[in-house]
Amino acid sequence: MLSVLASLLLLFAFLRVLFFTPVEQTMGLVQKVFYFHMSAAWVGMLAFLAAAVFGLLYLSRRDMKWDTLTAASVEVGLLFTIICILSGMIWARPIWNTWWTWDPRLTTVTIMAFTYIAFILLRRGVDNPTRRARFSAVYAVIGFISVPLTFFSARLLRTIHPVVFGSGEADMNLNPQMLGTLFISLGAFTVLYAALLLHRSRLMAEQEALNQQLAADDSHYDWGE
Amino acid sequence: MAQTLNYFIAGYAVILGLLSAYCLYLYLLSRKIKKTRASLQKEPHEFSGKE
Repeated sequence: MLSVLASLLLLFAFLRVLFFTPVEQTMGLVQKVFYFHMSAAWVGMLAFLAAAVFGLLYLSRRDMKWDTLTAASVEVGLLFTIICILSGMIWARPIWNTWWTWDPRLTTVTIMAFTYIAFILLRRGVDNPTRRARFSAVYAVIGFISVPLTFFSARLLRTIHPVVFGSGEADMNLNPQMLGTLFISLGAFTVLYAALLLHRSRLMAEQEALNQQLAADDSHYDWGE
Repeated sequence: MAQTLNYFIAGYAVILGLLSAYCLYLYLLSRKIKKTRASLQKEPHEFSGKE
């Protein structure tokens, strides 16, 4: 049900971007990438915040369902962060005349992405489920430091990256139609995150249950991930 | 106005392509889990853990 709602909202947001949002006069059509680019950035950070909260819940309650949710949230958050970085590069090419620059915002978002890539790689290296869960929880909480660093980098440091809200006169000048599309896209991506998180965590729990069953038979299934 | 249609198409191709690829990955993983569970139920003692 949540997946259907997410798909419909995403389709609605995309159609609104295509047909009901004006073209920005200076940048042209590429500016329309911004609606999904910013939504992906928002959901990426939300997912990492959720992972830190799930991590804290695991540490306080020692229930494996919080560990599963932590790992699933990091994976989905990383997907959205990679989407954000790649779509940003495509947007930057015609506007900044370069695919990439070591601007504070771009640098901090890269650090954030690598922090969570390391989470996934290191988590796979721990076989004991309890140790893995404890490691993941602590990592998700500490790794979250990279999120406010990324969020505030464009507000506190000298950067060429635009800031949409919260910088006063330097805010992007969006008209009501553009703002409407932005908020619909943000909503669609948030629902999509919730749907993907539920699916991924359910699959992770099933994988773990099967692995335990197989471990009882003295074998370990290679999921090929 | 800058002519940036190609970048617009590329941007959405990347966004929607990656989202679709991840959904496909989840679908294939779900199928693999179902298949493994079915194998385990059919032959609980003979399953070697490798396909």
